[in-house]
Amino acid sequence: MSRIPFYPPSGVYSDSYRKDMRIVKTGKQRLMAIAGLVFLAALPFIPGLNAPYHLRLLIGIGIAVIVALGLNILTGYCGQLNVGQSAFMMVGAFTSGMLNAYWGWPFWASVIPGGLAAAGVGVIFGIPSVRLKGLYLALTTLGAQIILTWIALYGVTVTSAGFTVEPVRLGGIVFNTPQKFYYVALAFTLGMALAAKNLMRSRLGRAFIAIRDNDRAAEGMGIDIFKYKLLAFAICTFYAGIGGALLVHYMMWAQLESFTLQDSVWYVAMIIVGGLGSIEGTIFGVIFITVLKELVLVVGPMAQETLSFLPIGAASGMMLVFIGSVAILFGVLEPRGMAHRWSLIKSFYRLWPFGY
Amino acid sequence: MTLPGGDGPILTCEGIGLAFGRVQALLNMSFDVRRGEILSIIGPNGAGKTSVVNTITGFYRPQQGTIRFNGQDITGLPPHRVAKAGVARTFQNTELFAGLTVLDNLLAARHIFLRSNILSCAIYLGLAEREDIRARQVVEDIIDLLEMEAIRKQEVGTLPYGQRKRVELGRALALEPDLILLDEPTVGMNLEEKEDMVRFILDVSEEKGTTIVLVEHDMDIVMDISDRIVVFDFGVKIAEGPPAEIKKDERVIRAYLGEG
Ligand SMILES: Nc1ncnc2c1ncn2[C@@H]1O[C@H](COP(=O)(O)OP(=O)(O)OP(=O)(O)O)[C@@H](O)[C@H]1O
Ligand SMILES: [Mg+2]
Repeated sequence: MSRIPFYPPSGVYSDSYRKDMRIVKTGKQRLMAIAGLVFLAALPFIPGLNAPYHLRLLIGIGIAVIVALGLNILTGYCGQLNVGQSAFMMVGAFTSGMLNAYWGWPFWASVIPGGLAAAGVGVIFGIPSVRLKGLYLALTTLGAQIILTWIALYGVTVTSAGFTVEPVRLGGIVFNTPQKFYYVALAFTLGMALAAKNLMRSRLGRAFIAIRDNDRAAEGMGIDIFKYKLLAFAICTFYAGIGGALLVHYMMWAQLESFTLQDSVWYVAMIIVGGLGSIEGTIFGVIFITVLKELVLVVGPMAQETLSFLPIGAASGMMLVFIGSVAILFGVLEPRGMAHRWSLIKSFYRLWPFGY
Repeated sequence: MTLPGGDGPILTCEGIGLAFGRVQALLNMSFDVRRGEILSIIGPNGAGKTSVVNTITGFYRPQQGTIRFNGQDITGLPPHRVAKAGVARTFQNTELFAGLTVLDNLLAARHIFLRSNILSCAIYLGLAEREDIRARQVVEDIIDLLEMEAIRKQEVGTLPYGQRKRVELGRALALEPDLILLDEPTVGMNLEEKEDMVRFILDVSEEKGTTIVLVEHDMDIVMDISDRIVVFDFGVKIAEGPPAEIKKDERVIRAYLGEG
């Protein structure tokens, strides 16, 4: 077997490895990234796109991206199921909200504690993952959803009734409109997505994937799988907590109803459709499902009117079934999610016109 | 450099007993592995070869006996602690990280050498990146040694069987172990692949001075490259010695070699 020199001689090695490991590799990619950022930053001022309805949708997408990123780190990268993500989001939301409403902590001081509280609770519910796998672990996290909701409903008076939370402030600015809060959501979403991307390409991400792909071999290579599974739970639920903290300061109101089992299931659907184990895929999945859900809200009532012979609620019910089917179809036909399609398109584009 | 444990054996197994219910996989098993040697473990199917590898590396917990590595008692330590202590292994039924590339499989095994914490990993630029570049250099050297340059960016799930075995050896080497246990590294390979694997094992032994324990069914390979051989039968050690002696041993011929 002859040796093919793929890399320049040593000395420039470390430099070429650094280039090889970059997220943005080519000048064209850098240009696209900058253009994308400029567009996102300018969006609230672009007529036609800056309707409050659009901005609210985008804020919702941004917060959901953060929560779903956490879930994808745990489920997609580390292989541990979690169907209680919105309950952990609730822990962060109430922690941050109460610190603000009852102790007067500003958003900036209460957002990290919100994430940490969620992570603390998340780790406790992650402990069974040492022994439990797959569906059994899913049951534990389902238990988390039920127990945490029960505590918030019957255990704490404040959280069962809901309470007002102050908007985010910075300098003299109060971020109390969609147009202003959009920037808070954008900054957090980009920051958390970049952090997720970095975590997953570092030693942590490799340890998570190793555990997912082969936990025996991972142990044999010196990875403490118990410690790293718990760490995956901590990161996952930290993201959920940050998302929750953002949500209550955006709505300026904290309530139990924002964190249902149904929401948890949506997060699972988002990462399946987008692509398990993909940061970009998570974003695609959240956008896809959010837009579909929005369609239910719009098309549902319209269908109800035209097809008036149907019982009330049947049309929206059908739409839910429709979205569920889409998620299942993805699971069957494209198990690697939209992210995989995306990478196929990208490589096609890179090779064009010499593809195939 | 003085190693912990001095010039004595790098690994001592003393009176190991391991049972699964009524199956006695290992019985009063004792043997030493000397520093720098290639020691082969042979024996018929079900003799307990894989069991001894699993016991040394912490995957099985023995009911009796002690295992000392570099002077340290490692009996009953979990696998990841044994790996950190400097013992690496490959698996009889190749166990790779299927979704990762060859490069990332090897990088995953550099885990124990990387120190960057969760915050520096999240920021990446700086500490985590520098560490990864250093890890990458070590891993690329191993890729060179095992002649895997052409497949370094391929997902291991897509590789043919013989190459997966090679990746597994590379991943074990990435731990920079003092001792490496290879459980049937040439099983299912064609002649050419076997020759390559044998050459790599000898390279590792000579260039890195790594001590090697080899579980192997191919007698030509065993007789060719072993410094010493231990023979198992029904969980018991029935012979031990250099290849020339083992070839002549009555009990070995009856239990094992006789069939060929
Ligand atoms: N996890 C286990 N549970 C129950 N029995 C086991 C287990 N592992 C090994 N054994 C039993 O222990 C005995 C020794 O098995 P082992 O795998 O060590 O043999 P081996 O020498 O590696 O054989 P081969 O050459 O086929 O790989 C066998 O009888 C086997 O059935
Ligand atoms: Mg075996």
